[in-house]
Amino acid sequence: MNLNATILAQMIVFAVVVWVTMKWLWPMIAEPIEKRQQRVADGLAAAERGQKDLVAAESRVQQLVGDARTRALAIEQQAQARANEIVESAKQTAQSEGARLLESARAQTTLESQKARDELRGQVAALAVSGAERILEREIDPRAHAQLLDKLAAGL
Amino acid sequence: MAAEATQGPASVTEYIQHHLTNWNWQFGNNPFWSLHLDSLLWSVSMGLLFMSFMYIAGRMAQRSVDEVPTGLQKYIEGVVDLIDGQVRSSLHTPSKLITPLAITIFCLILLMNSIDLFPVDLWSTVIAERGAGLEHFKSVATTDPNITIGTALSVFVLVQYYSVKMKGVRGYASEFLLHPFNTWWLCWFNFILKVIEEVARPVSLALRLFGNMYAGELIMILIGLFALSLGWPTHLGALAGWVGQVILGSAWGLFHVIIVLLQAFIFMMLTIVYLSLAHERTDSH
Repeated sequence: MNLNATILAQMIVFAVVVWVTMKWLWPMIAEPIEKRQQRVADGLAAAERGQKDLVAAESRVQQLVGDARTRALAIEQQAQARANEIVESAKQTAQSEGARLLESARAQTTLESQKARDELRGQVAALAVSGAERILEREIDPRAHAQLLDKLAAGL
Repeated sequence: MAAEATQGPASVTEYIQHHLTNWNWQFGNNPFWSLHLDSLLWSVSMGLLFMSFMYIAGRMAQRSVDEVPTGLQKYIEGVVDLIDGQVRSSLHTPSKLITPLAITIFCLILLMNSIDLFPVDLWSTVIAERGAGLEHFKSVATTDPNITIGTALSVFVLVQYYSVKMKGVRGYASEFLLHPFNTWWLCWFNFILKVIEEVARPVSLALRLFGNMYAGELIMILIGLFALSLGWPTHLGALAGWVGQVILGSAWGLFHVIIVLLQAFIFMMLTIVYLSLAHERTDSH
């Protein structure tokens, strides 16, 4: 084992290699790795955020669907109620209209029967007069017997 | 391999010595002023290999920030992430130095160790001696204590620098003088303890790596020798030795993969631990 100046030479060689590695070569390797690690970490964080967003969106969708369902139900009930109301009011209108028509028909009938009766009464009076004329064979003065005739007509 | 061994060296001693001697270049009067050119060649080329690998990885990473990483990119990022995780788990204060330093140490030592998995005679005998005409050429840089001590000393210097930087001169001095016994009349003892502690770290870092790799290399050489010793006189013996070397070499090679990886990892982990200790304030205890 003979020790000599090779030790010093090796120290210089080693120092140069270490210095070059530290100064130029190591940053060349370390920086891209660090950058990529950063990027991967960012990507993972983004993925996690996306997952969270998805969950939030899903719950929001659930809520929206629930809201829509209750609203639709309310609208349906409202429509049902309105329809019932309309049917009810239509029924009422029809009933009152029918009653009114019936009433007016009845009034007209009464009026007409009254009229017919009056007419008939007149005719009966005239008939009675003509009958009496025939029986008496002479003319009856309508003016003279007007009172009598009226009494007759009222008696019919 | 056996064929090279039988044709090459004349004796067992020569074979071992040949494999364990560095390509030495003395440029001063004192033997200290010499360089192991083979170790430094491996160190520099593995450093360049590592840096170009990092450069390609960096270009790929920059080009594909927007894309899903694939293939090699994924592999590199996995390794980077693993080491970064180790650093983060043992360090309380973030640092821009420690992760790249840890990756550099791990990859450099792993690459230098991995040369041990090549056949023992490939570099020293086939390429260096036959190809380039070099008498001695040692292929695994981490079996040269100069390389491991040099690396460990660099780590030691960094640890001292960061200790002073993070704790201040006062904190650094108080660590030497007032721990573990917080009284002035025992400060000389504290100082001795702390110096031993600090010196033991690079020594253990360097010698652990050196010892493990040297032992592994030596066993590889001995397995190579097994073929030489069995196969020398006859062709049948040569065949038996060759088969034996293949079996033993494969088994030890597979086991050695673990050592190659583990030693690089241990060196890196201990560096992280020492540096994270340097970053921590120990004033409170």
